[in-house]
Parts: sequence; C-alpha cells; structure tokens
Amino acid sequence: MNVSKEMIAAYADGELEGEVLREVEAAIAADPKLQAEVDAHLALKVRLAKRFAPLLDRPIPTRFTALLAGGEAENKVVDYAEAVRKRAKPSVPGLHWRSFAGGALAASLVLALVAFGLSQQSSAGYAEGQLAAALDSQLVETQSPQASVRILLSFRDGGGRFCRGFSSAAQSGVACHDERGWKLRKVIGGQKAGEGEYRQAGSAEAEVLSAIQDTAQGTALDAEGERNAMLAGWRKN
Amino acid sequence: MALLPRMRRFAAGLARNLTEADDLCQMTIERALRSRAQWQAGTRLDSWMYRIMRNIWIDEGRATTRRMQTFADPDEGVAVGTCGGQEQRAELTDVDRALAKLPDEQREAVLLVMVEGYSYKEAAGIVGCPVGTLNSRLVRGRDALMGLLGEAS
Repeated sequence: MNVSKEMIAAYADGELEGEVLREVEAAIAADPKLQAEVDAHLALKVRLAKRFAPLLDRPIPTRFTALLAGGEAENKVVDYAEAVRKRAKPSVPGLHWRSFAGGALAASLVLALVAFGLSQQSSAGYAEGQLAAALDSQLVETQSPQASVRILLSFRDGGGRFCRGFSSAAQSGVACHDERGWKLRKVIGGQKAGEGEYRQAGSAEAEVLSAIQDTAQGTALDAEGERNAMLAGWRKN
Repeated sequence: MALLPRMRRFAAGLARNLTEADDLCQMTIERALRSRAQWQAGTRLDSWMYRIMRNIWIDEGRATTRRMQTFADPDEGVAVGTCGGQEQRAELTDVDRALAKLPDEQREAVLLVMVEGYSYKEAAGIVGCPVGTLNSRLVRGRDALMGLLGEAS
C-alpha cells in the first residue's frame, strides 16, 4: 500500500485505527524509510515538548487571578443555595460577592464557567443563577452593555405582577415575579450560537417584545418605576 | 484557572513573545468571561478557550506580531527555562525561530497537535477546518520544521 506522509503523521500521533492502522503498521514494519519518518516525527514532538514544557511552570501573574476574581465578583457567581437566598431576600448586589471573591482566588476558571453554564438552565420553570440575579438586580437604565443577560424592559401583567423581558445568548423570554421567584412565562430557546461565534439576539428579542405586548397591562415601567419596583423586591402591591 | 498555564503556553507559541502572549491571554480571559453564556456545558472548556484565543489572535495579534519582526527574545527564553544551560538556551531559540518561520496556519496546527496534544478532530474543531486539511497543514509544518532544525537527517 502507498503510505502518504499524512498517514505517517496520523500514525505517529495515534490517530489511525482499524484496517488502516493495520495496513500502515505493516507498511512501516516492511520499510525502514517509513520507520525513520515515524521516528523523526516523534523526535520533533519531544523537541517541541522540551521547548514548551517549562512554560507551564511559570508563576501566574496576579493580573490574571485578579481578572478572574474580578469577573466572579462583578458577575455574582452564585451557587444554588446562594441563588435561593438571594431570591428570598434581595440583597445589595455586589456587596456580598466582594467578600466571597476574596476567598475565591482559589476557585478555578473551570468551576466558574461550569457554574455559569449551569446557572443558565432553569428548573421547574423558575429563573436561576445568573438569570435570576439579573432579573433581581439589573436595571435597564444602568445595565452594562456587556452584561450577558440583558433586561429589555419591565412592566406589570394583568394580575399586577412585575414582569421583565430578558435576552441572553442562552435564552430569551419573559419572567414574572411571584412568591417563589421569577417564574418564566415565555422562553425562546437558546440561540445556539456555535462555540466562539457571537450572534446578535435580534430575532429572539423581537419575539420577546411581541410576547410582552400580549402580557403587559399598561405601559412599560420607566427608570424610576423600575428602580422602585426593585427596591420593593418586585412585590406586586 | 487550572487552564491558565496551558493557555499561556499556547499563547506563547502563537505570539512568539511572552509579553504579547500574556496580553493575548488576558484578552482571552476577558472575552471568555463576557461570553461564557455561549459555552455549552458538557463540551470541552479548553477547546472553547483556545478557539477564543485563536480568534483574538487573528483579529488583533497578527498585525502586532508582524510589526515586531523579532522572534522570541533569547533573554526571555532563559527566564522561561527553569534550567538554563548554554546548550538549552540555543535550543530554545532554534525551535522558536523555526516555528516563527512557519505560516500561521501550519504553526497553529503543529502547536495544537504536537504540543497541546489535541486529536486531529479536536484541533480541526478549534481551527475550524476539516480534519484532512488540518492533517496536511500539520505535515507541511512538521516537514518545514524538520528541515529548519535538521531533524530529518
């Protein structure tokens, strides 16, 4: 069989399997030149590893750890219990998390991101984690343009409950506040942006806004009305 | 944070200058934190971060890299290596120089597979090209490196 350079590389990198692997193996065994190519590939790998391995042992600059801790504080990394506590008693955003972040230098980015990923999901129809936090404490007027959950607007439904339209990469929709928390009234499925892609939420937002028109009683809250509602814990009376 | 050392290594391979590499790292972390909602639980976080880094590198890093024209500073190489014998010092810059001469697409293929140890499929996913394309870039990059380093003999 004619063994290409690509196949030799794939063999040396452990990428071949089954029939092809056996054929290439046989060809290599029969041809010292092919074996030399495999050896050269492996030698290069070792040489690269020698060059790059020491880079792993460098001390990590504090600006990175600070960045991660800062990101956590700013975005309120919450565990589930914390999310529940937050719902029960709206707290001053950020305050608690500063102290948490102090101890969180050790928390890994992995953990942080896993927490964020999971917190996007909701169970039993109630917003949780990051979404719940945004619904609780983010005001349309003051929210960061880079916030991962954007609040579109706030209003009251026919029953006088406070509701908020939201939009994020994972999901968009409408949530209304009741005694348990933010009940998801309408969820427009995750815009499954491919990893590394950044897609605008345009169409989902339009859908949310039309859902709001169906639910809303009266007009949307203005900045002051929204702030007062937040300070009152989004309770309807 | 467990990923940081590996991310910095990959950045160093891409950027060829440790200061620039750490800037790249920082931008990657910032962008990852900003767009973490787009990361799908259950998929590999490291691949996702690498993909972000690579995109930033293409968007912003390349122009700077081109301007610098110098490859890894030998002094930095020493600071990096924990044991810095004279011989190893030369070795470091040889590899750096050879890598720096590769076209970007070949260098990233070599780095992802031969240094970071990704499978062809994972590496192709990060780069966003078919597996076959990655395989041939890898081979071309590898052959060029061997030629430059005299490894083939």
